[in-house]
Amino acid sequence: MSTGFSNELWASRFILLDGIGTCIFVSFLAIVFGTIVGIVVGLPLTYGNFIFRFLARAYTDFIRGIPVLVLILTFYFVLSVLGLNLTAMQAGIASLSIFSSAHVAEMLRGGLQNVQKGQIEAAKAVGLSFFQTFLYVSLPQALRQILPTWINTAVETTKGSTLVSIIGVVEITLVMQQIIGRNFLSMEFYALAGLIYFIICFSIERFGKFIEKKVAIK
Amino acid sequence: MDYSVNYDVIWRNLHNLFYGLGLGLYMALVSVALGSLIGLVLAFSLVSKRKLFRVLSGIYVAVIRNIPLMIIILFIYFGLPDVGLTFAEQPSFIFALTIYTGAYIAEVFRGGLLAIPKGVGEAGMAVGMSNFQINIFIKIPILIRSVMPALSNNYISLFKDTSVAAIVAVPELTFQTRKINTDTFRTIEAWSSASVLYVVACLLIAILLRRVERRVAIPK
Amino acid sequence: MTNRVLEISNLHKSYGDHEVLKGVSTELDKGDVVSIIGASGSGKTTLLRCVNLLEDFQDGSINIDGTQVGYQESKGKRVKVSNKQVTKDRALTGMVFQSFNLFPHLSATENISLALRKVQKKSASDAKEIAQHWLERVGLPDRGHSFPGQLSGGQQQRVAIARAIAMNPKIMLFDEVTSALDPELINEVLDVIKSLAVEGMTMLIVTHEMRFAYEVSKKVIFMNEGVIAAQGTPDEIFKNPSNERLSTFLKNTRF
Repeated sequence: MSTGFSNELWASRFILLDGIGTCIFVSFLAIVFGTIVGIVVGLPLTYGNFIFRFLARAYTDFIRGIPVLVLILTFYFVLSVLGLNLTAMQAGIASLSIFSSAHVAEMLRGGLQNVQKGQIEAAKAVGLSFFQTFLYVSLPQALRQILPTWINTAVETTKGSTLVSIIGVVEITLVMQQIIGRNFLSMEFYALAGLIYFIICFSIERFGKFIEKKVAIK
Repeated sequence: MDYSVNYDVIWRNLHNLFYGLGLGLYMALVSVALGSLIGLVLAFSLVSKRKLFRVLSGIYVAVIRNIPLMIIILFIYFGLPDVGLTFAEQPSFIFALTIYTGAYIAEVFRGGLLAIPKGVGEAGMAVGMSNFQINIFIKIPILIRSVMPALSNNYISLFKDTSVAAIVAVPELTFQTRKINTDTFRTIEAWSSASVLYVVACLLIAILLRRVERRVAIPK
Repeated sequence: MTNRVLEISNLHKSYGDHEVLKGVSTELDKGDVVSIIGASGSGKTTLLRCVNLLEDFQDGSINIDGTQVGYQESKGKRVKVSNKQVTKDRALTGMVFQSFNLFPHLSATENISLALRKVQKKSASDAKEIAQHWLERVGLPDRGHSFPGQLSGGQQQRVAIARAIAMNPKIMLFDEVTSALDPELINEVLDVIKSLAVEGMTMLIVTHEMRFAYEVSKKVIFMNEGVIAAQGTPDEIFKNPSNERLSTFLKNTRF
């Protein structure tokens, strides 16, 4: 590596760390909110009557049909026209949350419906109510099953957070562009960006595997 | 709020939007085709007896899957010219998308290969076929049929990923939409139209691909 | 000697420390039908897979139609022949598996014609004709267009037999070919094998169907813990078992 790169890297260390912090902050909130909304949508998607199910289905299918970038741009531009002035950061977090919520809802439905019918019947047979059956039988089994997919969505959301750079959120990608704008070391700094994202996403993946092992039914 | 919705500008620009949509579908198609070749080679390495092949292909898959598409594009489009490798916007995007999806397809193919019963390969050996012939005439045809549903989903998500090409000024749907937005300030109309177009396109492709899947499925 | 089709001598095979075959020797002349019986884990399937070179073996030799297969002597050492040669050697035998192993993406006709075209380099029309001939021979003249998933287990197994025998092997190997079948489908498969025996096909059959083994075989081999514990004519083996293990085995087996 050239001394130019290491000097530039040292000079940029603080904004770079800020960018990484922002990336993690945005991704983390998006995953948390996305999971909460995803559960709220996923339950009617699985157990709702016709109308609720239809609405939940329309929401998940519509959101999953829109590219993340379009979701981000739509949120950012349209809401401001509608008089709701979100900051770029807020709009970014909101749109990434919505993106992940649709995926969480869908995986929750899959997980809940995959719980064997015999399990539910057995729960009924011992006298558990619908809610008890859900809480003590269906949900624990479904959660274990969807954990790998959920981790995958977390990784996808984190990767998707690069796109909020386009509306001006100063996360890793935009920081890199600012640095490169100063020193023109495109290849080095984009490679560095790749490395940083790899470390973040790979850690999430490994952490997921670790949790999976911890909660696995022996 | 004094904003009255008026879709005239969308109707006037509909040909541009459809051109952008078509371009996205096309780029995704090329990428999924080239990505499948990469994926096939990687999948055979992933299940190879040789450790070196397994390790190298495993690293490729792990690295690419954990790097955002946008970073790969920026690296190829802005980074590679530093070492004299310059591509135009569209080829560099297709290049990035191919590399990106190759890693995902590799995993799909690996799963498909492992799902082929061992005995089917042995039956090929027993009638005197070479390993190469078994791969070409038995394993790959079975593989391609069994992974079609996964490959369809892959194509749809690639099509959505083509929106990212807008950042290197490839005139696909997102780029066209942004242009309408900046040119006319018809923000709501532009983005709602783009969203609907993406959703409807995804839906139609999904229906079409389900039919293709049924056609190529192994008869039961 | 000219009639000798298969000669196995002193075959040793182990997986790691576990020795599965501990010196097995036997031979088949042209037209011989030999059945191998024995408990599971006795090594009978492994023996068959060695003959088809689906398994390596550590010592001993297998000769098919006068040629040693799988291994050769080179500078006093036993070395494995090239993959290409293994493929060629394999063509001397036809193998039918317990789980049929038809190619799921190909029709019955294509299952049979694929290797004819790609291995024996026959024209598509010749291969198709041969396939049709053998489909008729196994009693499935009008199922050529069906895919494996559309056939019953018995029909699949008959296609598998046709696929193996269409390659014109010197010897047919049957590995528990009725074990995966529903009881009512077993006879249609055994009948096909019997008719091949009548026509003079040389066959080595691993089976749990004692009555079938009794009826069809010239010689029956009883394997136990990796060795041939007893062998003889069906009458000697089934009516008059000299070996203690054999008697116990037969007592616990449905005839």
